[in-house]
Amino acid sequence: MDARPNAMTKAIVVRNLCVDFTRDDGGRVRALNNVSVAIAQGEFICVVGRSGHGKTTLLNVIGGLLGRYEGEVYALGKKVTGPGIDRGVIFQRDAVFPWMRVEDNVAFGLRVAGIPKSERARIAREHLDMVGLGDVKRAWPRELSGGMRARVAVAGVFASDPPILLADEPFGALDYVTRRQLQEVLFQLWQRTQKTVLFVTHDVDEALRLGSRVIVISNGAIVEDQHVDLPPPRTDDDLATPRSLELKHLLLRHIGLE
Amino acid sequence: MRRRRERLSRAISGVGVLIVLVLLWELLSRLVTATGSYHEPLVPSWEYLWSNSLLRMADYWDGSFGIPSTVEGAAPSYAAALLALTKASLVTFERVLAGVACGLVAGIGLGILVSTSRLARRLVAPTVHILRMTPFLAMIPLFNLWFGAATFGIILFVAYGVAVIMFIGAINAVGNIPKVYFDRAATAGAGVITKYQLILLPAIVPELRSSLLLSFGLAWSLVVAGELLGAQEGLGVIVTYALQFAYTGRVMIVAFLFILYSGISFVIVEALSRRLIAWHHQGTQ
Repeated sequence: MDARPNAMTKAIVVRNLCVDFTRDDGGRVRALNNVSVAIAQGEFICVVGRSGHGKTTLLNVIGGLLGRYEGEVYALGKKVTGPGIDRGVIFQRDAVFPWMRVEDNVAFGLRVAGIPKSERARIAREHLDMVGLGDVKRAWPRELSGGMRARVAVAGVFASDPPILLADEPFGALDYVTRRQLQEVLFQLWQRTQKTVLFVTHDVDEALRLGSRVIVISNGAIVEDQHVDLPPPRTDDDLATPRSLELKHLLLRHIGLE
Repeated sequence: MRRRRERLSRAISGVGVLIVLVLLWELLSRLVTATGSYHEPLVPSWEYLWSNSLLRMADYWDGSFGIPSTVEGAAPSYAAALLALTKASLVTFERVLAGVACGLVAGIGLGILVSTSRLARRLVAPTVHILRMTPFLAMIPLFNLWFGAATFGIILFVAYGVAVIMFIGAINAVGNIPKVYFDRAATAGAGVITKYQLILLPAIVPELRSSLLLSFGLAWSLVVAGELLGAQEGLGVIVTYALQFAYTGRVMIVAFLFILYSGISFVIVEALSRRLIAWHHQGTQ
């Protein structure tokens, strides 16, 4: 693991990160313990691990959503002190605003950035077409399925065009087929835009299908950091090769399943 | 089709219930023949209400627009009666609308402030929580003493009641906004004003709607209560005079008007607010 990266050339640099939470009874829980990781620009890194072991905490710190931490965290060379438009987030919970029509949801970041209405409508339409939702741009989110709302979230974050994308188990609540479709959508968008992606998931297969690199977090520490040397895009057959299975077993062992 | 049939069936049963109530009242008026101190029946029949109580509303007409008042010796007329009721209604409307408008702004504003600012929570919340536990009617004498029994005092009293309801509603509504919406806004670069304008305000509307309907209903009660004590104009004043002479019929006519007005205002507010929350699930029900 490269613990001394140059913060200016990497998209994300985390050094000696420690995060503690206070329980209701006043006790302290260490969620992340001395985590260091550097993520190159354009890299698609997947973070796997069991629930409650620190994956989302790491993402929240990088996203600027968790203010109190020890250590150093940099995004594009700047110290992370709060959320910023350089780091788009796809949340685990449904964060599509129910009071905005689909296209307004997608254009939200552009509206905040002060992009003129006609321009943001064009960009929103373009991105809705990319995720296959061009026909429902005037619909209310309540009229969409969970999978469609996940597509809206993906389109929205790509429309804002942040150089870094943080995804927190965005497809975890979806059925298998929809999840596979959305993985493909996300992967294609990543290939087209070459953004830096940090993708949190508990699904090792999903990590191996998408990631150019996979790290495993266990008990708040990075216990494995693997480059995935399988050529993308990865089909089901690619994930059944001896090398792929070897990687999968390695990751599962570190997660604590084997 | 099914929805239309349901609506029709609801309307028919509503009218049916109304007819039954009217008939029951008529029956009651024939069974109870007791009268008050000025020979006014305690349970007036519909015929009495129309030909006497409504007509005698002309007693409250001041004689303008060329329609003479009974004080000037003119015989009571339906024109004078309707004008008297219309004028009193307009005065009461003004108080309700102004009170509701002030109460909405104050209640929602304070609710949001207390929900989003720790300092405001410490400074304002205890006082407002004490006020909300105080019975509204117990505050009337104080409002009378402090702000007078005229329009200004009554508007403030209505505003106070509405503000208390909306304050509690706003606190609950803001507290129930999922944090993820604010997180998403923050990661998109939204500042404080944008978060209020595009996230907080639209997100609280569905929950505030029930408080709004409740506060409109309450406003009609509060305005009557306010007008009963010392006001010079308004529907409540007619009730006060009528009560002095045990004119049950006149009290009933004003009561019918209040039911009508509060029903109409409920329908209007309900329809307008439903449009506001077309995005919400309840909006299609």
